[in-house]
Amino acid sequence: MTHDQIRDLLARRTELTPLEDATVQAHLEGCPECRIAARDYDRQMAALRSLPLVPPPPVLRDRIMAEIQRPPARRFRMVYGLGPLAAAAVIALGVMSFHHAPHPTASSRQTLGATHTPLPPTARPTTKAHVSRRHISRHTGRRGRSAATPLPAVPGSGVALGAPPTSVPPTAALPPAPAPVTTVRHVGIARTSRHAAAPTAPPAAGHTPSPGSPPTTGARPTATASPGPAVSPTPSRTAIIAAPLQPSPTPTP
Amino acid sequence: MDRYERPLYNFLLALVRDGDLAADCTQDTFLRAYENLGKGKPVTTSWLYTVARNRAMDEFRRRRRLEPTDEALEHQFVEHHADETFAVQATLDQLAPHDREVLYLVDVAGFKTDEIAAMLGLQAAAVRQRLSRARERFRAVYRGPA
Repeated sequence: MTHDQIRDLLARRTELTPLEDATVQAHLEGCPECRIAARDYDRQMAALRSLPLVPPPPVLRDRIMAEIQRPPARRFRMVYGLGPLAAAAVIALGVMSFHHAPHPTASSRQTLGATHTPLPPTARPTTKAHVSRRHISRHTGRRGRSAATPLPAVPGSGVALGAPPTSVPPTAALPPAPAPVTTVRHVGIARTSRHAAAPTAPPAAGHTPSPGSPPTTGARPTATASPGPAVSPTPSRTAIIAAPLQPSPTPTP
Repeated sequence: MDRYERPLYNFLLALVRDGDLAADCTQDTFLRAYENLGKGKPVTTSWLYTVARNRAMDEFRRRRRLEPTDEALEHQFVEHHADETFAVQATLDQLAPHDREVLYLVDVAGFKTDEIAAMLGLQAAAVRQRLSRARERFRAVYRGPA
């Protein structure tokens, strides 16, 4: 056996089998280095065993007994009582955000689909042109907000179909589309204008992008194209609901 | 509780190196034990040490406080000051929590490596390797009385 293997056996010397013990003894007789290690290990074990046990604080037992005698409902009130409160708050927030945000309508989607805006040269070239919004929505299932594109002042419009650039299908296989069709590059503007490319894509009047808004992909559309005060985008309800429900590690023996 | 209060408290003290924190963890461990007993579940020594250890690890994660404060150590060990004891405690202070844990469980609490493996959710071979390394680290630091 090697020295390391003997050290491993020495480390748990109290639980060696007779065969292992004999092997160790045979090795120690011819190995002064491991004999020194064995002596040090023995001293180490004796020192640890001789450690005096520190008495716990006298109040500890009183605390434990007081907690035990307390009814469980009160004992764990802080732990379990906050759950329903948090759930109620989350539901309330979700309902509020649902009612305060305008809903995309079919007419608004059709209106957007009929518009086309020339792209600035600084727009992120995420995709080529000629992909209809309906095609995007089929691939992504997400909706976003077009913050940089001037939209016609149609009531209820202003809802853009947002999609992450990575989810756009390859452009080589896409057929060319006529000019009036809104393109995916439109979506690219909408995404970049909310982050880094906002200065390069000036927003339309009455359609102010809010740079401070959280960059949540697929957030519910909240702004309209009608003139008026800018409406900051609301975080998605999924994000609101999921935030307080992060699991915390608990010891489970 | 008479039987396990002091050993558990000292085990937790060896892990967290903070008297107040060790007392809190001990309290939580006994409350869990009473809960289990109230539900008719068995509570063994290994179970108690496992719960105590998990509670301490939870505190480590929560507080990110792996190193003790000098005040806590001085408060806890000054009354037991002796040359040998002081040397051992000073050595333990310089070891990582998992080294202190395995050394304490083997040498002070008297558990076998198989039992420790079941407690920690590790393979027995892993515990033996951890023990061997902890012994070497302790040996490298320990300067006991000649």
